[in-house]
Amino acid sequence: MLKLLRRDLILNRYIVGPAYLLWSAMWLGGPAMSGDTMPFGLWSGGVSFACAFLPVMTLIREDKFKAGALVCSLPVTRDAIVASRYLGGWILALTGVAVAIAAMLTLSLFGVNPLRPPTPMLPATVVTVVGLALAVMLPMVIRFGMVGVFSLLIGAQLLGVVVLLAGAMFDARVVQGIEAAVKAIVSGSARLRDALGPAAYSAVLVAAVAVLNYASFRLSSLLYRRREF
Amino acid sequence: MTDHAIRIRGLRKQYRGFTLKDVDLDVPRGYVTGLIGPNGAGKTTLIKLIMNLVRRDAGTISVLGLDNLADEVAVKSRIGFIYDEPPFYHDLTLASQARAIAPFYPAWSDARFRGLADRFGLPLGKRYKALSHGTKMKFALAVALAHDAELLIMDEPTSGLDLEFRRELLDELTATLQDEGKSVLFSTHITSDLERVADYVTFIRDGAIAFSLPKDELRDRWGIVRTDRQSADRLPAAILRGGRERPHGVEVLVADVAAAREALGADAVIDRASFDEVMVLMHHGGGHAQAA
Repeated sequence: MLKLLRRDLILNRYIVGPAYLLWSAMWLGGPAMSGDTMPFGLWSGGVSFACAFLPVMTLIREDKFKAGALVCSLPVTRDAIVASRYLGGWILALTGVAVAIAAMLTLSLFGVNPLRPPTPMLPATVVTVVGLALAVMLPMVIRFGMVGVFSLLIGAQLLGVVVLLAGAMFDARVVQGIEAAVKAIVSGSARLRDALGPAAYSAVLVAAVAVLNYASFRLSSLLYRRREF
Repeated sequence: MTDHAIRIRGLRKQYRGFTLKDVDLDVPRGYVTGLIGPNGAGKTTLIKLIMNLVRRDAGTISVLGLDNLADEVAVKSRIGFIYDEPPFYHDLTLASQARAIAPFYPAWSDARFRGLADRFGLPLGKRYKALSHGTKMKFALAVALAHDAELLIMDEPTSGLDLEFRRELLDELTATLQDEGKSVLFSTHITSDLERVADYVTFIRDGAIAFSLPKDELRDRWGIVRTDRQSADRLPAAILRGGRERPHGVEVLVADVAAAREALGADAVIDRASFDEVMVLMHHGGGHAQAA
């Protein structure tokens, strides 16, 4: 596992380093230039979502060079390869978020405070967003490579278009129903958080993300064993 | 220790429009085995199945005495594998790529790798994309040999190389393998490569193994009978391997020149069969008397 992580680091170091700097600058620039004060949680949620694409970027690179065949000819099992994708993905994404947050906190030392102070929910927010994004994206990327990412993104957009069209053409209740479902999830989460308190609620979120990622990992392993090069 | 570097039994893989059909094959240990056949015959599929890069539908593969799936890690740590288009990162230097691969192989030797790089004239500080196809293949060969692999598997290593570079690569390969007792399986459709380095020849056609023989036996015992159809009918069916109609008669590939001469008489025209002719006649003739 460590050998695979080391390999990915060597092969992607010229991509990941600049991406951290560029993305951090981008994420600092937005709030710093806007007049409003954004909640720290909202900002870090956005950063986390963007950073979850970092591991996807490295996998797309591997796909571009058709290097998946090379990895699978090395003396490692496919399950170990998939496990390293998940662990490496988490490390890459969380490091990206940490770099961005550290940069934002550094900015505040110079009197620039475009965000409201962080709440105790910050770590759980980051873990949840990164975890959800990775759990959904990785099986598609690991099995189908670049095509998987594009299929996922285009599929999500098409689904949105179809739902909106269905709402407009047939019955506005379709869209309203989806809105109501989203609101119910949000308010349900808020009620759970109020009932449990931030610490326990964070633990529940992290545990849920862990279970989801484990399920996603098992699915990816199953899919990757079927992948042919 | 088993006598076979690779032992395949009942191997089957089905694609839409192509099936590798219940392949049985023994690749002897310590020799160079050339896998030949026309494009689309199943050479790459067979090699990918050995490397578990594609899933098999049936059969077993034993590599260096170990099952290639159950003992995948142990098997692959003893194999050096070269693709026809080596899948390295184009924008990284050779040194970086070697550094990323080295830790996977317990027997990797940096000194050995650097020695091979020197001998092959590899510019380790250069990016992969800046290299010629021939140098890329040499880099792949250096990586495959740096961990002292017991078995080298190469898929069309000389394809796309010009004659001079092909000869140089094969010379490097034979020089490196000399006296080391390594086993090699390499696929090619360039028969002159086989003449140069192979000890055994395996011919694959339409997803099935047509024959697998020592090169010397092929060279010494096989031949092409050039005669008319009536005389060709007198040849024993057991020695017929293929044939084709020609403007002035037929050409029949036989697996036993002496038996053919016995059947047709001492003045029969029987020539030695080159690998090219074997491939062409077997491809056309289906390997049976009726073909001629």
